[in-house]
Amino acid sequence: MMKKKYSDEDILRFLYDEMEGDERESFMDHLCTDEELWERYEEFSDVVQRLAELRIEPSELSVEKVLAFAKTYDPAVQPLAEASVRRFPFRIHLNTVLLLMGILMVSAAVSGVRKHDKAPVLQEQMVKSEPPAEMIRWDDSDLEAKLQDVRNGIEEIQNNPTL
Amino acid sequence: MKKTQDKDLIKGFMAGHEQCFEELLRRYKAKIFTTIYLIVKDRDLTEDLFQDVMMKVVRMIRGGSYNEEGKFLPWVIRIARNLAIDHFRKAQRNPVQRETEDYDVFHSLGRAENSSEDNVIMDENTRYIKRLIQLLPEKQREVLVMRSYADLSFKEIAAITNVSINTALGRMRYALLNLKKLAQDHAIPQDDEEKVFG
Repeated sequence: MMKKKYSDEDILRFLYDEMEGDERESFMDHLCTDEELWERYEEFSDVVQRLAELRIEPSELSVEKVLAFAKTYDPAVQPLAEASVRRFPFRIHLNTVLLLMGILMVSAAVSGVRKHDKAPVLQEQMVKSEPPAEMIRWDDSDLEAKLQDVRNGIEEIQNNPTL
Repeated sequence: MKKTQDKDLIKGFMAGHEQCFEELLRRYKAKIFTTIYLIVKDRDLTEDLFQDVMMKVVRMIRGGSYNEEGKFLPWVIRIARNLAIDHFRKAQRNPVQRETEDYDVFHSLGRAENSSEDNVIMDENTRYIKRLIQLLPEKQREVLVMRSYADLSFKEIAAITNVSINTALGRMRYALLNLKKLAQDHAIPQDDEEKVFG
């Protein structure tokens, strides 16, 4: 058999099972007859075998936690945060909605108070223990409608998986 | 008994059979854990990252995000590397990017060197090999870890590290030759050296 020159890289491809078919067969044939090739092969083979002995196992606790998670995880009821991480920042949108809701409530409250703005009366009556009825009777009919709109919006966002 | 293929185990798990995932975990937990450990070099951190990685694997498989064209172990290793990078990015508050041509993950992660190993129980031989691996130049260590423990092919390693297959093979060659040289340079007693590297 004609002696073929195999590189160290060829030896590594053979060692790691990345040589196939005729090339692999030819290499094995040369390995049996080429002493120099065999010595180089042995040199790498020893190191590769010792490397393979390095196995570090995870703790039993870690394995149990992972298995427990795998048993209980249900993608249908995944936490909202989890969905928001995968999709584009849904969590940001939700926070924005909550912020808007807060602003709406405050602005609605302020507009209700302004309708019954009786600052002079207020100042006069502050010393009394009981506030006048006019101060606490706000026109809150449209406030409730606004809050319901925000609730509907949140529900729509939660139910829309494309967001 | 014929060994069930990974893709069938994954399909089984997607269908709700948890024992399929248990088998996958049994097959690959050591390789995954060892790879993570050789990257981050800290036992406690490795335990945490291992759990994070495998839980993410569960979420992605059950959520239908697993791509059947890729092999299971390399896919998990990519997740592990990215989570390790994320961890160090948060820890160091460094705007490190993932997997770009200019970024060498093993250079950055190498800063976790010399972490406490008090809780690690491994025999002297294993500890010795691990220490030698960590002495390798980063690019050589990266190829060696990915081929020997993460089971990525040289072709996959070349794709991940943005080099040619020949370069990946060359780095592996140097890594193995350097391991032998390092063993000699670190004045190992002759008997132990032969025990380790023949």
